[in-house]
Amino acid sequence: MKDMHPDILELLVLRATEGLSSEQREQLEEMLREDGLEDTEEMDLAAAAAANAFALKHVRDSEDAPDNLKSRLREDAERFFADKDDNVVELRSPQATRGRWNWGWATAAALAVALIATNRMDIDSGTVDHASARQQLIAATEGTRIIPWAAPESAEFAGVTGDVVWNDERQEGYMLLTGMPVNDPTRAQYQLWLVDPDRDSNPVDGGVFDIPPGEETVVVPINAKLAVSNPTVFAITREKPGGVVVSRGPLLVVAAAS
Amino acid sequence: MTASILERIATGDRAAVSECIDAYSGLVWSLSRRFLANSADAEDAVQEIFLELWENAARFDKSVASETTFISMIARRRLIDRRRRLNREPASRPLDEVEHSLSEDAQRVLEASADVQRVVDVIKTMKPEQQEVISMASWLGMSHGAIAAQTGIPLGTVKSYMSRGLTRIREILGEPGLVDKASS
Repeated sequence: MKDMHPDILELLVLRATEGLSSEQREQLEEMLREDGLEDTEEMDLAAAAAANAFALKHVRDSEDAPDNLKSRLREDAERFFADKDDNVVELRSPQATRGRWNWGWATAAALAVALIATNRMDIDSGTVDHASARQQLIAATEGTRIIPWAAPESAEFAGVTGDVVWNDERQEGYMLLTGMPVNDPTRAQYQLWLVDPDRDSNPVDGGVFDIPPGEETVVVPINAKLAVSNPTVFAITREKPGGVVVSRGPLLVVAAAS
Repeated sequence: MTASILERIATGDRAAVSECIDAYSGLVWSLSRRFLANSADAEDAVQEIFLELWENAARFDKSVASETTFISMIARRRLIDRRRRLNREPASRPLDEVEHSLSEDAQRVLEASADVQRVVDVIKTMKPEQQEVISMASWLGMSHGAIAAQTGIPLGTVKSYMSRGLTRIREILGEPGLVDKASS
């Protein structure tokens, strides 16, 4: 292991044993950058090996993984590799977003529980109830944030406006979308992603949805598959029907908290 | 030398995916149960971990660490992150009060791991106080502050024990010629 500043080593050890806060992660990245060092998993590997050694020493009982869990792992793997084979869209730099995004492996890890069906529309867009619920969330609840969509870079989405309303405590949110192009759900569906800095910058699946014909403005409920804390970026991609496990983008419409 | 399960997955050998689940689901399950008290949370975490594993199979390098260690690292990172999100405190009970269960599959995998055997030997050469600190941090997931408070060892010494101990353990991982039996 290269010589490194003791403060860097301390943070690497901390990450390997109890995890880092978002502030500590930024501090580590800054210190590595200043010293011209690459991030390293060496302490994570050492801590894992140490934990395994102590696990053997302290075994008291035996509990096998449930059979139905193993079945789900096999089903997940089948879908994962099928998605990987099918997904040929290249990653583009998320210029309109803030922070560091880790689209590649990150979404796969974050979206385990999203692997429920190969074809799905888990968000019902555009109903009056959703518009009312959005208003109620804005009016009645403390901690609700309203984040406008940034002006899209793509000409196809240039006219899209609206906002994202999100409340951490209730884990509830809505997208207001005006001018979003209609999609043919048999060919492609929209998928929302949430970036939560406390989740290793991994985007979380916010659900697959459609924009039906004849709807200029729609309110779409957010269906985050995992609990998120203070998400800073909401981004919409266009994916194959049913959505994907690993998104390569591009990011079509983005809302970033200031 | 025979390719490991993860190396085969990385080259597109789909049969290796099922072998990986058979070989390592017990270990990942045991780790998840240690970190997460709720069984449903643990099952979700196991699914997340295996997806991350499929995505990262190509990163595995047996000259750096054994397959068991690499998979454990992927699992621990995800579990540490998940526990932080759930705002659950790291464990704070003494080791001898902690009930620990390990599946038979997990036990076999760990016993067969070249890394684990070497780490056991290295740890035995450390001072008992340092062994205790590394055990409490790596195995129990206790914070450095909690370890200092519980043992009476100054926080600076706890940090020093951890840095020096993990650096030493790191040095003996993944030595040439070592392949876990789960992959052979």
